[in-house]
Amino acid sequence: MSLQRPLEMTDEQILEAILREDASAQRLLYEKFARKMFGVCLRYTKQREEAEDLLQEGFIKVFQKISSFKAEGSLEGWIRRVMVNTALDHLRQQKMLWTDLAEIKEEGDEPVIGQEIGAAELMAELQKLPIGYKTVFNLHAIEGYSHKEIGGMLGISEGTSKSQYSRARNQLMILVQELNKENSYTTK
Amino acid sequence: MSRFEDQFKNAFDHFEPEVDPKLWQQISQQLPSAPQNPGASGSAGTTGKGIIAQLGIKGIAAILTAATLTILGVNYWIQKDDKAAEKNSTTLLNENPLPVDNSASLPLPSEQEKAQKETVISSSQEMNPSSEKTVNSSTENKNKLDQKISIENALTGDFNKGKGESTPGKDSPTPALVVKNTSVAVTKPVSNEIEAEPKNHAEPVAPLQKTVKPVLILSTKGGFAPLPVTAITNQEGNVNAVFDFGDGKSPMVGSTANNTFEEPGTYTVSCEINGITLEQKVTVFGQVPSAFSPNGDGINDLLTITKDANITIEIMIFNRNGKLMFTGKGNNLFWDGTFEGRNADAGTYLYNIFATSDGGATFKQKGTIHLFR
Repeated sequence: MSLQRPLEMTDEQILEAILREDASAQRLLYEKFARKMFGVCLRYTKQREEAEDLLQEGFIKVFQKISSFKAEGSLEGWIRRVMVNTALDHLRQQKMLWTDLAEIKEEGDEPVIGQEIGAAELMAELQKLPIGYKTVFNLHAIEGYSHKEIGGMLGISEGTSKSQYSRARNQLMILVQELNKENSYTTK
Repeated sequence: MSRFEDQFKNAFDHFEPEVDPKLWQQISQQLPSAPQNPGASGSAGTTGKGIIAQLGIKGIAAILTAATLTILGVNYWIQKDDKAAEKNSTTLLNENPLPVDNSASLPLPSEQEKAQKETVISSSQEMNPSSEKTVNSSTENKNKLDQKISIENALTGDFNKGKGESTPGKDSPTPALVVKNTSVAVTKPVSNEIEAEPKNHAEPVAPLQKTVKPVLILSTKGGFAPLPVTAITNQEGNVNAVFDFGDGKSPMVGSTANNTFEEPGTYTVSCEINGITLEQKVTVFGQVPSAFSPNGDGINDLLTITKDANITIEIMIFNRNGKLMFTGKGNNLFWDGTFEGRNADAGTYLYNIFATSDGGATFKQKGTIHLFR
């Protein structure tokens, strides 16, 4: 006999409970997405504490605006956008200067990240990048926005986004190659 | 997008790092519908208490009594209210379970007690739209359960009080439990799902054969705090089981439930389904700290791996190059941040833990520790 059993409460069930003011439902929603969203917040920050601040602020926004969520896209996607926007708000407050640099063309092969290198380690490398590189890399490579969209979000030109991105990518490749080297020493 | 970026994207897509449990407390304090609800009659405390204050003790007693009576098989109240609920919640009864414009149909917490009451009734209707037309007694039975549950849900803050009065709790089984357990009606909700031979009602044996014996399944029997646990039942279809994780949080309703145990301890997870209460135990161990600073300032100089007498831990700590820095086994383990008599470098260390509880359950855990100087 095949048993149908969803592994967890569906987004719809949680949403419905939140909208009817079920006190435990907000927590359910938080527990369901907090870890994943913490991963998102970490990518846009340098330190854990900073990411915790973002996560906290982001979730408060989520609960304030949840009644405006339209069931058109996924709930997770919507929460993620709230988190990313919160991160960008913080970035804007820093009033950083964007320098338009020439795009870099990489030479040589793209490194393949070793299997033993986990997400936590990649995160540590990504966090080392300058904030501009990191933000553009996140928005383009992970979140999937175009350079044009990123330009609009950050108030920079499309070209600046591209140059920041190519430099971010280049620097990440170097960091990954170093990681791979470290790991190959330890296996010997 | 070329392969290099994809590797990052793939890694991060499934990255769900631990979140400090304190964060939720901070968030919940800043929420508008947070527990601190200055209730209408000035009763401080939980939202549940606020609602009770607004409804009045008599009102609550009436609802709970009515719920109990309906479980015992008195149909009048529920049938009357079915009609009332139909009137109240016609907008909620459509196919889409998500009211898009909730401002129209769901009242805000600041509104009157009457509105609160209506929400309770209409939301239960919403949970089980199929009961709208049926006069079938088994569906009604289910509907009653829904009704009861949603009333209790509305009282989440004070759930245990309601439980003592109307719900068959694990500590004090009430007559309702007995009645539901023994009467033919118990098997009906399940056989109703299958929709087979409704004439067989006279013989209780036939439906029982189609009933799957309820089983409570937990995603894990133990691990380190904070420990996320999913509880599921083996029942098919639209099941409304009441899950209580035994850690003081409000019970949850559904076919499955998730909970994260924040504090170490042994918890009894219970699940009440069709009047039967099932239990499983979960052992939660204290978390290994994520950071320590062995600089002699008296604050976090030692990494406390465990001092729990009920658990034996075997740990290996490696540096980033894979060199074994520390290893130990026991139930009172510390690392002072030295290696061969010299201070280990500041940085990230990886650990592997193999743990055994007194009860014989075993767990593995991997993680990172930050050493600051």
